[in-house]
Amino acid sequence: MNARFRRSHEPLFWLLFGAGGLLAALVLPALVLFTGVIVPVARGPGGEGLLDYTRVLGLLAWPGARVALAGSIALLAWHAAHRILHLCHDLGVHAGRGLKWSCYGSAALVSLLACGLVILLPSP
Amino acid sequence: MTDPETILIEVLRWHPDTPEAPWWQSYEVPYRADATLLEALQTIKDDLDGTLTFRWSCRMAICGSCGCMVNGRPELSCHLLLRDLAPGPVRLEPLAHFPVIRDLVIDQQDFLDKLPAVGAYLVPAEETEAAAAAPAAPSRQTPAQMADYYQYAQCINCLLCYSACPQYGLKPDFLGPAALALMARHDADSRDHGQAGRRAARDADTGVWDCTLVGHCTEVCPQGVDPARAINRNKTASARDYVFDLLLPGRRR
Ligand code: SF4
Ligand code: FES
Repeated sequence: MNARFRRSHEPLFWLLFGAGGLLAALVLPALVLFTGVIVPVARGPGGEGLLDYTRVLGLLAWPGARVALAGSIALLAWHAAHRILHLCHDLGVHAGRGLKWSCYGSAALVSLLACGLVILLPSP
Repeated sequence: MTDPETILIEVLRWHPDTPEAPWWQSYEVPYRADATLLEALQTIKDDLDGTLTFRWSCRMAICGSCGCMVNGRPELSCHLLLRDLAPGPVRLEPLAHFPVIRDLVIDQQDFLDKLPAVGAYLVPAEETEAAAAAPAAPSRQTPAQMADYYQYAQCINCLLCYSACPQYGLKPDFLGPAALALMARHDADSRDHGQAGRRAARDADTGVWDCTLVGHCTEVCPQGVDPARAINRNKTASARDYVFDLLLPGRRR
Protein backbone atom coordinates (compact mmCIF):
# COMPACT_ATOMS: atom_id res chain seq x y z
CA MET A 1 0.00 0.00 0.00
CA ASN A 2 3.04 2.26 0.23
CA ALA A 3 4.52 2.31 -3.26
CA ARG A 4 2.48 5.32 -4.36
CA PHE A 5 3.57 7.53 -1.45
CA ARG A 6 6.77 9.59 -1.58
CA ARG A 7 7.86 11.31 1.57
CA SER A 8 7.12 15.02 1.59
CA HIS A 9 9.72 17.64 2.49
CA GLU A 10 6.93 19.94 3.58
CA PRO A 11 7.67 19.38 7.31
CA LEU A 12 10.84 21.44 6.97
CA PHE A 13 8.99 24.42 5.53
CA TRP A 14 6.01 23.90 7.80
CA LEU A 15 8.20 24.02 10.92
CA LEU A 16 9.85 27.25 9.73
CA PHE A 17 6.42 28.60 8.83
CA GLY A 18 5.07 27.68 12.26
CA ALA A 19 7.99 29.23 14.10
CA GLY A 20 7.65 32.40 12.03
CA GLY A 21 3.91 32.45 12.64
CA LEU A 22 4.43 32.24 16.37
CA LEU A 23 6.85 35.15 16.19
CA ALA A 24 4.52 37.13 13.98
CA ALA A 25 1.71 36.61 16.46
CA LEU A 26 3.72 37.34 19.60
CA VAL A 27 6.49 39.75 18.69
CA LEU A 28 4.99 41.90 15.96
CA PRO A 29 2.04 43.23 18.02
CA ALA A 30 4.44 44.04 20.83
CA LEU A 31 6.69 45.89 18.39
CA VAL A 32 3.76 47.79 16.91
CA LEU A 33 2.59 48.73 20.39
CA PHE A 34 6.07 49.83 21.39
CA THR A 35 7.18 51.74 18.32
CA GLY A 36 3.75 52.94 17.25
CA VAL A 37 2.07 53.86 20.54
CA ILE A 38 4.28 53.77 23.59
CA VAL A 39 7.28 55.60 22.16
CA PRO A 40 5.28 58.44 20.55
CA VAL A 41 3.23 58.88 23.72
CA ALA A 42 6.33 58.78 25.93
CA ARG A 43 7.99 61.41 23.77
CA GLY A 44 7.14 63.97 26.40
CA PRO A 45 9.69 65.34 28.83
CA GLY A 46 12.46 62.79 29.36
CA GLY A 47 11.23 60.53 26.56
CA GLU A 48 13.08 62.13 23.68
CA GLY A 49 15.37 60.04 21.60
CA LEU A 50 14.04 56.68 22.82
CA LEU A 51 14.52 55.20 19.36
CA ASP A 52 17.71 57.02 18.40
CA TYR A 53 20.10 55.03 16.25
CA THR A 54 22.85 54.82 18.84
CA ARG A 55 20.41 53.75 21.54
CA VAL A 56 18.85 51.03 19.45
CA LEU A 57 22.29 49.90 18.36
CA GLY A 58 23.13 49.65 22.04
CA LEU A 59 20.54 46.89 22.32
CA LEU A 60 22.79 44.82 20.10
CA ALA A 61 25.77 44.99 22.41
CA TRP A 62 24.99 41.48 23.58
CA PRO A 63 25.63 38.87 20.83
CA GLY A 64 22.49 36.98 21.80
CA ALA A 65 20.42 39.99 20.76
CA ARG A 66 22.03 39.87 17.32
CA VAL A 67 21.23 36.19 16.92
CA ALA A 68 17.64 36.88 18.00
CA LEU A 69 17.35 39.76 15.54
CA ALA A 70 18.65 37.75 12.58
CA GLY A 71 16.55 34.75 13.63
CA SER A 72 13.37 36.82 13.85
CA ILE A 73 13.87 38.42 10.46
CA ALA A 74 14.66 35.07 8.85
CA LEU A 75 11.73 33.21 10.40
CA LEU A 76 9.28 35.95 9.45
CA ALA A 77 10.57 35.73 5.89
CA TRP A 78 10.06 31.94 5.79
CA HIS A 79 6.60 32.41 7.21
CA ALA A 80 5.73 34.95 4.53
CA ALA A 81 7.21 32.80 1.73
CA HIS A 82 5.19 29.75 2.76
CA ARG A 83 2.03 31.82 3.07
CA ILE A 84 2.42 33.45 -0.34
CA LEU A 85 3.12 30.08 -1.98
CA HIS A 86 0.00 28.51 -0.46
CA LEU A 87 -2.09 31.56 -1.18
CA CYS A 88 -1.17 31.27 -4.86
CA HIS A 89 -2.17 27.59 -4.76
CA ASP A 90 -5.48 28.47 -3.10
CA LEU A 91 -6.15 31.10 -5.77
CA GLY A 92 -5.58 28.48 -8.44
CA VAL A 93 -2.13 29.70 -9.51
CA HIS A 94 -0.06 26.53 -9.84
CA ALA A 95 3.21 27.90 -11.14
CA GLY A 96 5.02 24.74 -10.07
CA ARG A 97 8.65 24.58 -9.09
CA GLY A 98 9.48 28.06 -10.30
CA LEU A 99 7.13 29.70 -7.83
CA LYS A 100 8.30 27.42 -5.05
CA TRP A 101 11.93 28.24 -5.71
CA SER A 102 11.29 31.96 -5.91
CA CYS A 103 9.25 32.00 -2.67
CA TYR A 104 11.62 29.92 -0.59
CA GLY A 105 14.62 31.36 -2.43
CA SER A 106 13.64 34.88 -1.36
CA ALA A 107 13.25 33.68 2.21
CA ALA A 108 16.72 32.13 2.06
CA LEU A 109 18.11 35.35 0.62
CA VAL A 110 16.48 37.45 3.35
CA SER A 111 17.90 35.07 5.96
CA LEU A 112 21.39 35.43 4.51
CA LEU A 113 21.10 39.20 4.39
CA ALA A 114 19.86 39.25 8.00
CA CYS A 115 22.84 37.16 9.11
CA GLY A 116 25.24 39.38 7.20
CA LEU A 117 23.61 42.46 8.65
CA VAL A 118 24.04 41.47 12.29
CA ILE A 119 27.62 40.40 11.62
CA LEU A 120 28.54 43.62 9.87
CA LEU A 121 26.67 46.07 12.13
CA PRO A 122 29.22 48.10 14.12
CA SER A 123 29.54 47.48 17.83
CA PRO A 124 28.02 50.26 19.89
CA MET B 1 -45.83 33.51 10.95
CA THR B 2 -48.16 31.32 8.94
CA ASP B 3 -46.63 28.34 7.18
CA PRO B 4 -46.28 28.58 3.40
CA GLU B 5 -48.34 26.18 1.29
CA THR B 6 -45.40 25.07 -0.77
CA ILE B 7 -41.66 25.49 -0.94
CA LEU B 8 -39.67 25.91 -4.14
CA ILE B 9 -36.91 23.33 -4.61
CA GLU B 10 -34.47 23.76 -7.49
CA VAL B 11 -32.35 20.80 -8.47
CA LEU B 12 -29.30 20.75 -10.73
CA ARG B 13 -30.00 17.78 -12.97
CA TRP B 14 -27.96 15.75 -15.43
CA HIS B 15 -28.56 12.42 -17.11
CA PRO B 16 -25.71 10.63 -18.83
CA ASP B 17 -27.91 9.35 -21.65
CA THR B 18 -29.13 12.77 -22.71
CA PRO B 19 -26.92 15.04 -24.77
CA GLU B 20 -28.01 18.03 -22.72
CA ALA B 21 -25.76 20.01 -20.45
CA PRO B 22 -26.78 20.00 -16.77
CA TRP B 23 -29.97 21.99 -16.25
CA TRP B 24 -31.84 23.50 -13.33
CA GLN B 25 -35.31 22.18 -12.67
CA SER B 26 -37.76 23.70 -10.19
CA TYR B 27 -40.41 21.90 -8.16
CA GLU B 28 -43.15 23.39 -5.99
CA VAL B 29 -43.35 20.90 -3.15
CA PRO B 30 -46.07 20.83 -0.47
CA TYR B 31 -44.64 22.33 2.71
CA ARG B 32 -44.74 20.64 6.11
CA ALA B 33 -42.82 22.16 8.99
CA ASP B 34 -41.77 18.75 10.31
CA ALA B 35 -40.78 17.24 6.96
CA THR B 36 -37.13 16.72 6.10
CA LEU B 37 -35.54 17.78 2.85
CA LEU B 38 -35.19 14.09 1.98
CA GLU B 39 -38.95 13.65 2.39
CA ALA B 40 -39.47 16.58 0.04
CA LEU B 41 -37.24 14.85 -2.53
CA GLN B 42 -39.24 11.66 -2.09
CA THR B 43 -42.45 13.63 -2.64
CA ILE B 44 -40.99 14.94 -5.89
CA LYS B 45 -40.04 11.44 -6.99
CA ASP B 46 -43.41 9.89 -6.02
CA ASP B 47 -45.80 12.61 -7.13
CA LEU B 48 -44.11 15.12 -9.43
CA ASP B 49 -41.22 13.66 -11.41
CA GLY B 50 -40.19 10.01 -11.24
CA THR B 51 -37.00 10.64 -13.19
CA LEU B 52 -35.29 12.58 -10.39
CA THR B 53 -32.47 10.45 -8.99
CA PHE B 54 -30.90 10.62 -5.53
CA ARG B 55 -29.47 8.21 -2.96
CA TRP B 56 -30.89 7.52 0.45
CA SER B 57 -31.37 4.64 2.83
CA CYS B 58 -31.64 5.17 6.57
CA ARG B 59 -33.31 8.64 6.58
CA MET B 60 -31.83 9.14 10.06
CA ALA B 61 -28.32 10.51 9.43
CA ILE B 62 -26.47 7.26 9.93
CA CYS B 63 -25.98 5.59 6.52
CA GLY B 64 -24.27 8.57 4.93
CA SER B 65 -25.80 8.15 1.48
CA CYS B 66 -28.04 11.22 1.08
CA GLY B 67 -25.41 13.98 0.94
CA CYS B 68 -25.83 16.85 -1.51
CA MET B 69 -25.09 20.56 -1.76
CA VAL B 70 -27.91 22.56 -0.18
CA ASN B 71 -27.67 26.25 -1.05
CA GLY B 72 -23.97 25.69 -1.65
CA ARG B 73 -23.19 23.84 1.56
CA PRO B 74 -22.69 20.07 1.86
CA GLU B 75 -25.50 18.56 3.96
CA LEU B 76 -27.36 15.31 4.59
CA SER B 77 -30.79 15.84 3.11
CA CYS B 78 -32.37 13.67 5.82
CA HIS B 79 -30.78 15.83 8.49
CA LEU B 80 -32.42 19.11 7.44
CA LEU B 81 -35.97 20.17 8.19
CA LEU B 82 -37.95 22.16 5.65
CA ARG B 83 -38.80 24.68 8.37
CA ASP B 84 -35.12 25.55 8.63
CA LEU B 85 -35.02 26.15 4.87
CA ALA B 86 -38.27 28.11 4.56
CA PRO B 87 -39.29 30.24 2.80
CA GLY B 88 -36.89 28.94 0.16
CA PRO B 89 -36.04 28.59 -2.61
CA VAL B 90 -33.74 25.67 -1.85
CA ARG B 91 -31.02 24.99 -4.40
CA LEU B 92 -29.74 21.41 -4.56
CA GLU B 93 -26.65 20.21 -6.41
CA PRO B 94 -24.68 16.98 -6.32
CA LEU B 95 -21.81 16.93 -3.80
CA ALA B 96 -19.01 19.16 -5.04
CA HIS B 97 -15.66 17.76 -6.24
CA PHE B 98 -17.03 14.33 -7.26
CA PRO B 99 -17.90 12.95 -10.68
CA VAL B 100 -21.67 12.89 -11.16
CA ILE B 101 -23.36 9.66 -12.18
CA ARG B 102 -26.85 11.13 -12.54
CA ASP B 103 -28.71 14.06 -10.92
CA LEU B 104 -27.72 14.10 -7.21
CA VAL B 105 -25.87 10.77 -7.33
CA ILE B 106 -22.07 11.02 -7.23
CA ASP B 107 -19.33 8.44 -7.76
CA GLN B 108 -17.52 7.65 -4.45
CA GLN B 109 -14.95 5.34 -6.02
CA ASP B 110 -12.07 7.71 -5.32
CA PHE B 111 -12.79 7.61 -1.59
CA LEU B 112 -13.25 3.85 -1.59
CA ASP B 113 -9.82 3.49 -3.19
CA LYS B 114 -8.29 5.67 -0.50
CA LEU B 115 -9.58 3.64 2.44
CA PRO B 116 -7.12 0.75 1.98
CA ALA B 117 -4.36 3.28 1.20
CA VAL B 118 -4.64 4.77 4.70
CA GLY B 119 -4.92 1.35 6.33
CA ALA B 120 -8.43 1.95 7.63
CA TYR B 121 -8.65 -1.38 9.41
CA LEU B 122 -7.25 -2.87 12.63
CA VAL B 123 -3.96 -4.72 12.17
CA PRO B 124 -3.42 -7.52 14.68
CA ALA B 125 -0.10 -8.04 16.50
CA GLU B 126 2.47 -10.23 14.75
CA GLU B 127 1.30 -13.79 15.09
CA THR B 128 3.75 -15.79 17.13
CA GLU B 129 3.45 -19.57 17.13
CA ALA B 130 2.57 -19.55 20.81
CA ALA B 131 -0.11 -16.93 20.26
CA ALA B 132 -1.51 -18.80 17.28
CA ALA B 133 -1.73 -22.01 19.32
CA ALA B 134 -3.46 -20.32 22.28
CA PRO B 135 -7.19 -19.69 22.11
CA ALA B 136 -7.89 -16.12 20.98
CA ALA B 137 -8.27 -13.86 24.00
CA PRO B 138 -10.72 -10.97 23.86
CA SER B 139 -9.07 -7.59 23.37
CA ARG B 140 -10.13 -5.58 26.36
CA GLN B 141 -10.09 -1.79 26.42
CA THR B 142 -10.51 0.70 29.21
CA PRO B 143 -12.97 3.56 28.73
CA ALA B 144 -9.98 5.91 28.45
CA GLN B 145 -8.45 3.81 25.67
CA MET B 146 -11.76 3.82 23.84
CA ALA B 147 -12.12 7.58 24.24
CA ASP B 148 -8.84 7.99 22.32
CA TYR B 149 -10.41 6.94 19.04
CA TYR B 150 -14.18 6.95 19.63
CA GLN B 151 -14.81 10.37 18.11
CA TYR B 152 -13.04 9.45 14.86
CA ALA B 153 -14.88 6.14 14.71
CA GLN B 154 -18.20 7.98 14.29
CA CYS B 155 -17.54 8.64 10.59
CA ILE B 156 -20.38 7.46 8.35
CA ASN B 157 -18.46 7.98 5.07
CA CYS B 158 -20.98 10.55 3.87
CA LEU B 159 -18.20 12.52 2.09
CA LEU B 160 -19.60 15.92 3.06
CA CYS B 161 -16.10 16.80 4.26
CA TYR B 162 -14.62 16.11 0.79
CA SER B 163 -17.11 18.51 -0.76
CA ALA B 164 -16.22 21.08 1.89
CA CYS B 165 -12.47 20.74 1.35
CA PRO B 166 -11.05 23.24 -1.16
CA GLN B 167 -7.74 21.36 -1.21
CA TYR B 168 -9.45 18.17 -2.35
CA GLY B 169 -11.20 20.24 -5.01
CA LEU B 170 -7.85 21.55 -6.25
CA LYS B 171 -6.00 18.25 -5.98
CA PRO B 172 -8.02 15.03 -6.08
CA ASP B 173 -4.94 12.96 -5.14
CA PHE B 174 -5.14 14.38 -1.62
CA LEU B 175 -6.25 11.55 0.68
CA GLY B 176 -8.70 13.97 2.22
CA PRO B 177 -10.43 14.56 5.55
CA ALA B 178 -12.40 11.39 6.25
CA ALA B 179 -9.66 8.99 5.11
CA LEU B 180 -7.05 10.80 7.20
CA ALA B 181 -9.40 10.89 10.19
CA LEU B 182 -9.85 7.14 9.80
CA MET B 183 -6.07 6.78 9.69
CA ALA B 184 -5.91 8.59 13.03
CA ARG B 185 -8.81 6.48 14.32
CA HIS B 186 -6.95 3.22 13.72
CA ASP B 187 -3.58 4.57 14.89
CA ALA B 188 -5.19 5.61 18.18
CA ASP B 189 -6.80 2.23 18.88
CA SER B 190 -4.99 0.26 21.58
CA ARG B 191 -5.80 -3.01 19.75
CA ASP B 192 -4.06 -1.87 16.58
CA HIS B 193 -0.48 -2.67 15.56
CA GLY B 194 -0.51 -1.15 12.09
CA GLN B 195 0.93 2.31 12.72
CA ALA B 196 4.18 1.68 10.87
CA GLY B 197 2.26 0.60 7.78
CA ARG B 198 0.27 3.86 7.72
CA ARG B 199 3.26 6.14 7.98
CA ALA B 200 4.17 6.40 4.31
CA ALA B 201 0.67 7.58 3.44
CA ARG B 202 0.65 10.00 6.35
CA ASP B 203 4.03 11.54 5.48
CA ALA B 204 3.38 12.01 1.76
CA ASP B 205 2.37 15.27 0.12
CA THR B 206 -0.97 13.67 -0.65
CA GLY B 207 -1.24 12.69 3.03
CA VAL B 208 -1.46 15.21 5.82
CA TRP B 209 0.72 17.76 4.00
CA ASP B 210 -1.84 18.77 1.38
CA CYS B 211 -4.07 20.06 4.18
CA THR B 212 -3.81 23.79 4.88
CA LEU B 213 -6.09 23.77 7.92
CA VAL B 214 -9.08 25.38 6.27
CA GLY B 215 -11.25 23.55 8.81
CA HIS B 216 -14.49 23.54 6.81
CA CYS B 217 -14.51 19.70 6.93
CA THR B 218 -15.04 19.84 10.67
CA GLU B 219 -17.80 22.43 10.35
CA VAL B 220 -19.89 20.37 7.93
CA CYS B 221 -19.37 16.94 9.52
CA PRO B 222 -22.76 15.68 10.78
CA GLN B 223 -21.05 13.30 13.19
CA GLY B 224 -18.70 15.65 15.03
CA VAL B 225 -15.65 13.76 13.76
CA ASP B 226 -13.30 16.79 13.53
CA PRO B 227 -11.06 15.62 10.67
CA ALA B 228 -9.12 18.91 10.81
CA ARG B 229 -7.90 18.06 14.29
CA ALA B 230 -7.01 14.51 13.30
CA ILE B 231 -4.96 15.72 10.35
CA ASN B 232 -3.16 18.49 12.17
CA ARG B 233 -2.18 16.29 15.09
CA ASN B 234 -0.70 13.95 12.53
CA LYS B 235 1.17 16.86 10.93
CA THR B 236 2.97 17.37 14.22
CA ALA B 237 3.74 13.66 14.41
CA SER B 238 4.90 13.58 10.79
CA ALA B 239 7.14 16.64 11.29
CA ARG B 240 8.63 15.10 14.44
CA ASP B 241 9.49 11.90 12.58
CA TYR B 242 10.93 13.92 9.71
CA VAL B 243 13.33 15.76 12.02
CA PHE B 244 14.36 12.64 13.94
CA ASP B 245 14.87 10.65 10.74
CA LEU B 246 17.05 13.47 9.44
CA LEU B 247 19.14 13.72 12.62
CA LEU B 248 19.43 10.00 13.28
CA PRO B 249 20.28 8.34 9.98
CA GLY B 250 19.20 4.73 9.85
CA ARG B 251 16.25 5.39 12.13
CA ARG B 252 13.96 4.66 9.24
CA ARG B 253 14.22 3.35 5.66
S1 SF4 C 1 -15.62 12.76 8.62
FE1 SF4 C 1 -17.74 13.49 8.94
S2 SF4 C 1 -18.23 14.61 7.02
FE2 SF4 C 1 -16.44 13.34 6.59
S3 SF4 C 1 -17.26 11.41 5.73
FE3 SF4 C 1 -17.01 11.09 7.96
S4 SF4 C 1 -19.00 11.62 8.86
FE4 SF4 C 1 -18.99 12.47 6.77
S1 FES D 1 -30.56 8.73 4.37
FE1 FES D 1 -28.99 7.84 5.60
S2 FES D 1 -27.80 9.55 6.14
FE2 FES D 1 -29.48 10.48 5.12
